[in-house]
Amino acid sequence: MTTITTWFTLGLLGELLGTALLAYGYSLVPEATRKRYLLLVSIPGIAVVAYLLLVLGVGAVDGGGHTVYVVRYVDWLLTTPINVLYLGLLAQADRETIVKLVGLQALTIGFGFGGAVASGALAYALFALGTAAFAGVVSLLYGEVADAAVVALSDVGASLYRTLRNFVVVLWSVYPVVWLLGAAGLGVMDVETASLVIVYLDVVTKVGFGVIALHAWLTMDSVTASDGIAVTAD
Amino acid sequence: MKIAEEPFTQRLTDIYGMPTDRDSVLPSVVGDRYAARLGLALAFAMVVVVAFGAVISAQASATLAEDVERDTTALSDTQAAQLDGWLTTARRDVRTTSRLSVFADGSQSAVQNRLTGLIANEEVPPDVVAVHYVDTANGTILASSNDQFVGVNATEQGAPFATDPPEFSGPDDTHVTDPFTVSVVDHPIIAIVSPVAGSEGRAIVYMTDLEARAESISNQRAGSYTTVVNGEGEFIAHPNRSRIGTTAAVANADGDPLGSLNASESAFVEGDSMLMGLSRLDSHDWVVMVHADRDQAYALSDQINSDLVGLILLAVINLGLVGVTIGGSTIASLRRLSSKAEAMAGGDLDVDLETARSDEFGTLYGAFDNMRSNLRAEIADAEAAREEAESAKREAQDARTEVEAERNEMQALSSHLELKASEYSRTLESAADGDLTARVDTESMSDAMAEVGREINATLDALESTIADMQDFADNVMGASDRVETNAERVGMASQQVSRSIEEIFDGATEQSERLQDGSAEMDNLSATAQQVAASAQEVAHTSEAAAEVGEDGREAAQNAIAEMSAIDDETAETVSEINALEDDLDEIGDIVSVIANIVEQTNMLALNASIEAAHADRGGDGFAVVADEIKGLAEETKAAAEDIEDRIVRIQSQAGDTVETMESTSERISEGVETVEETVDALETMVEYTEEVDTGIQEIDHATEEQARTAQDVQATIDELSSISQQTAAEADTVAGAADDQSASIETVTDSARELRDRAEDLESVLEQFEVDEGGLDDTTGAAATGDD
Repeated sequence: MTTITTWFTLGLLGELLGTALLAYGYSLVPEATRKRYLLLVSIPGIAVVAYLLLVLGVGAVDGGGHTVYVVRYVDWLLTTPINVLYLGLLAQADRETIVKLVGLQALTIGFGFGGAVASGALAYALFALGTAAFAGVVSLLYGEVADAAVVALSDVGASLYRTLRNFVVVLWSVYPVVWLLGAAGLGVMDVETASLVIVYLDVVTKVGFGVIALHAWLTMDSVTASDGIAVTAD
Repeated sequence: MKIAEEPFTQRLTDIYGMPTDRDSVLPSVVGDRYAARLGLALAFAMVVVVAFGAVISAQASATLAEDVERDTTALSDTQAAQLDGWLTTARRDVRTTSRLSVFADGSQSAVQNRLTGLIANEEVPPDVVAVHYVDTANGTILASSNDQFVGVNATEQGAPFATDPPEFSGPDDTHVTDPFTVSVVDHPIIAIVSPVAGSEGRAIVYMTDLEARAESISNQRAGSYTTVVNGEGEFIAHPNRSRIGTTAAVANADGDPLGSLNASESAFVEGDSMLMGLSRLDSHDWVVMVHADRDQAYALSDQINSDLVGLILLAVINLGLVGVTIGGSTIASLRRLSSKAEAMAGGDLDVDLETARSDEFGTLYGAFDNMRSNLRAEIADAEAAREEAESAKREAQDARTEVEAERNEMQALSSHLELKASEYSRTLESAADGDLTARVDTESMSDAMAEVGREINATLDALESTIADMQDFADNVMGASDRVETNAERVGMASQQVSRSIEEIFDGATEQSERLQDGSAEMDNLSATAQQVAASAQEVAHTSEAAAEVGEDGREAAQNAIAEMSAIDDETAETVSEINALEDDLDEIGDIVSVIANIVEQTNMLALNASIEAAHADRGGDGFAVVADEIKGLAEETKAAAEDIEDRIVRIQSQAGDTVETMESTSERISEGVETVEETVDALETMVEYTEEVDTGIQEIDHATEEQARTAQDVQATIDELSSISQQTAAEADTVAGAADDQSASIETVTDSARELRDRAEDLESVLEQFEVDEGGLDDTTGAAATGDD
């Protein structure tokens, strides 16, 4: 358990650093986007709390022969919908789409948790449901929301949307793989290793998402006023 | 702007090279999009990482499995060897103990003490818990290291060595029993039995705690335990005592790993949750089995695999991260740049080319910015060039208008010139048809044309006057020709008369010539005869000359003969005198010989005297007599010689006299010969004189003949001369006749020519009559020409 705690500690430090960086970026982004920017800061912020609890050894339950960290799922249940919410807002998708997006993402995490806690065929069934929900999220992000982004955003803004969307989709695709290979699935990977991978994934996705957006805002701001206005106008 | 648009688009196409990237091996869906290419590359990298991780995992797992198997069998081997060593030691110890004399003949207490001492002094191998002295007949333990056993009936306890007593082949034989339990001890027991040597019905029994032994052996590795089975596959040692005596599962396993195991051999059996190393003992039919927990044995392998999977996942995450961030931003930058380049290609040069990037993309943006400013400059240049071209075009149009005006003028002038030319042409044509009175109108727009007109008029004037002159001239020629013809006819008749006269002269001259030639031939004959006579006379003259010369020669020969004869006469006289002198000498010699004869006579006399004297002198005088004889001989010889000489002189004297006579007769004959020769000389001289006279006569004849011949030749020459003159005359007459003929012919020719000339003159006149000449302006010249001609 000492090893896994070490990983959790490293995750905590990563999230802390990311939160601090993004918090500092708050003063750099354009005024109009600051409110939405807070969403980006909140993502690693929530993760900080979650990892703190993990380091402290809170929130671990036995999921049918293997440990399930409930706190982690809670973290994901909060942060990943925030991610897609931000994407939906950025793309200026309609409310219904955004709700659908956030709901599907929450379902993805919920089914994933169910699959982790359950065992046998039920676990795989829930996992499949979670995967389907995530497929719905992906389809929305590449379909309606992307269309909305192209319509609503400038060249640079659409480019940012694409980057963030690809980032999320590609990196989140690794989570189900970890689930499958880990203790909840095939058991090829032990809990410690799976934790290490997940910690790295968490830090990268949560902090990276914010940093990319921040960088894009800063770049846009310095490049052209027109692009910046186009993005900030929404 | 539109001028530069086409090449600019072309240039951009060249720079991006988009339409030409068709030779890629990638499918067009991938090859056309950078994102697809990058995605493919990253996917490939992920596949490589996963595949390589799988290979590493498989290799590591295999290696670890081998290690586990080797470790497990090695452990079972070691434990089997240890157990084997313990068992062998125990059996040897039992044997040794059984041979102790105390057990054969010692008292009960001595045996008991000995047994107690064995245990107390630890003289037995470890885990031998008790040693008994047993009566094999009833199974009663007579003595024991443990007091509790003394008096216990082993048969009742169910000990196998008592219930089923073993047969021993000798005192050194030992027996190992299967495990059994007795009430006295709380663990299974295996007994080792050996008969006591020298005491029938007694045996030493070692009771061992095999379980403890096995445990002490197996306690060498955590997570594993050791069991022992006998030849039937039943457990004889097991941590779980209840299992002792039961058959091990492995004994019934596939391939019978237990039964097929030979002594000292090992095997590895992999069960569902257990791994087993089996090793058979060397000295006994037991198998040591080491049981290891499968999960625990393979924990390292699982850990490594887990870590590998984690590593692969991290790699995949990072690859995705790179693809999404760096690749994504690159694609975004490229798209932006390409859309801006396309906008520029479409003519919008005002697109924004600012970027915050300072990497190659920043440079690229800068390069595009430069390119744009260059393009602007080029477009500006092109437009300036176009404006220049347009102004040039306008100038060209002005110039063309001017040229057209000029061309119109030129056309007017040209048509006027054509008009004038046709006018001139008409006038000239009528002139050519004979009307030399026509003149052109010299009024013209063109000075040159006017000049040409004036020249034409001047030419026509000159032509007209010339033609008029020629007409007059032709008339004159005709008149002259007529006169020439008349005169020529007259001359022709005269010529024919001359010709006839000359022919007559020719005939006369020919006859004369023939006659002269006859005379000449006769004179030739005459001359030849005269020459022949002259030649004969000369021949005679030569003959007489030769005769005169012969006569002369004869006279000279005669004179020579006379001289010779005189010389011979002189010599003969000289010879005669010499012979006479010889005769005198001979006479003197005769005298001398007579003297000699006298002397000889006297000598002979002396010799005779001497011989007589010698005869007288007798004997003493023999020598003297010899000398006298000698002298006498010599005197006689001398006398003979003198007589001989005398004879010879007489003979010579007679011969000389003959010779003198001969000489005298010869001299006489010579003298006669000289006279004869002198007569001959006289005769010859006379003959020569005659001959010379004859010669002179002949010479005269010769001269006369030669003169005659010369005269004949002169005549001949004269005749020849006459003949040639007459021939020449005839030839010249002939020539004159020919010349007269020629003259006559020439005159005819002249007549013909004159006639022809007149015809030509008539033709000329008719031709000239075609020309219409202004008569009035030409009368004076015609008259002048006519008078001039006359």
